[in-house]
Amino acid sequence: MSIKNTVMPPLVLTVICTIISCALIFANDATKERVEQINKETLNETLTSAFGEGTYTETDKTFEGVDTIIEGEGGLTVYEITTDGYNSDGIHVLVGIKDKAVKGVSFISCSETPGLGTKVNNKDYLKTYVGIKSESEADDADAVTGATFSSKGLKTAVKLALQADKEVRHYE
Amino acid sequence: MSNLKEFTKGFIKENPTLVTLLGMCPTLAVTTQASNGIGMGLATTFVLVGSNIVISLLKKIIPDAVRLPCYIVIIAGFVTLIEFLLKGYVPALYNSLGIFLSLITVNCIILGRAEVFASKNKVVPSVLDGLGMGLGFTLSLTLMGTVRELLGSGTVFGLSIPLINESPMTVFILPAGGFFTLGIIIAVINKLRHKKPPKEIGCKGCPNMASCEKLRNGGI
Repeated sequence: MSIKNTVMPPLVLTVICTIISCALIFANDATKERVEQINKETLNETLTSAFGEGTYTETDKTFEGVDTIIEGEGGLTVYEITTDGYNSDGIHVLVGIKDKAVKGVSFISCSETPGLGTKVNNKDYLKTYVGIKSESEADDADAVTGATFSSKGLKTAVKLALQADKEVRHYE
Repeated sequence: MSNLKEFTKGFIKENPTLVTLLGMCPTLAVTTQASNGIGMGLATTFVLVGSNIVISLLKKIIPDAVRLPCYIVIIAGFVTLIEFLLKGYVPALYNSLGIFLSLITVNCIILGRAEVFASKNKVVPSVLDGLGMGLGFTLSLTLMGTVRELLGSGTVFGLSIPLINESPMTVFILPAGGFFTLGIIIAVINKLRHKKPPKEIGCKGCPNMASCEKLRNGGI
C-alpha cells in the first residue's frame, strides 16, 4: 500500500468538505439578514391585509404548538401556527381571535401540493372559519374537495389557536 | 465533438428526462404548475453548471476511490447556496419547491453528468454540457408543467383558460396524471426522433453507450 492510496483519498475528501463548509458559512452570513427581513415583511404584510392597519406587538407568552402570540388592537390576539397538512409543516397560518371567536385566518405560506392542497388558501374558503367559537364548530366546517389533509391541517391550526386563546386570556 | 454539439445534445438527442430518463423524481413531483417546472429547471441548471465547473477543475486532484463522496459534497454545497439565494430573493419559489429543492443534491442528472462528463473533460465543454443538459431538463419540465396545469387546473402560468377552466381534470395534477403526461410526451418525442423501439433491450440503443462503455473498461 503506497501513501498515495492510503493517505490521499481521506485527506482530499476532508479538505474538500472543509472548503465547502467555509464557503457556505460565508454564504449564510451574507443572506441571513435578507432572509430575516423577508420573513418579517411577509408577517407584517399578512397581518395588515388580514386584520387591517394597526400596531401589532409580539408578546413573550407561549403555548405549546404556537410559534408566536401577537397582540393586536381592541382585544385581538393573533396566533402564528405552523402545522402539518399533507406535507410536513405545510401550513403556516395566522389565526386571529377576538371576543372568544375567530376573527380571521390568513396564510403566511402554504407549501402544500400546488393546485390541490393550495386550494385551502382561498379567501372565500377561509371566511367559513370566521366566527367559530369552539373546537367542535371547527371540526364541522366543510373541507375542500381534493384537499382533505390540508383542510384537516387548517382545522388543527384553528383548534390550537382556540385552545391557546383560552389559556392566554384565562377563560373556560 | 464540437463545443456546439456538447451544448445542444441535451435539448433533444440526449435530453436527460425524456431520452435518458434521469431525474424522474422532480420531473413527476414539481410539475403540477408550469412556473414550478421553470424554477426547478433553472435551479438545477445552476447547480449542474457550478458542479461541472468545479469537478472538471478538480478531476486530477480527486482520487478515484473517494470521487463519489467528493462529487456529492460539491453538489450539496451548490444546492445549499441556491437554497440561501432563493430564500432571500425569491421566497415564493422557495416555498413552492419545498423539499424538492434540497433533493436536487441527489438528482441523478447532476451526479450522472459529473461522473460521465465533467470528470473526463475540460472546463469549457463541461460548462456547455451542464448548460445544455440543464436547459433540456428545464424545457421538458416546463412542457410537462404546462400540460398538467392546463388539463388539471385549467390555467397556464396562473392565467385561467376559458372552457377548460370550468371543469378541469384534477387527475392531471395528481401523481397518476404525472405518469400519463410523461409517458405521452416521451412517446411523442420518440416519434419525432423517428426512433424505433429496439428489438432487443441492450446497450445499443442507449445514448449513454459511449460514456458507459468507457466506464466499464476503464474504472470501477
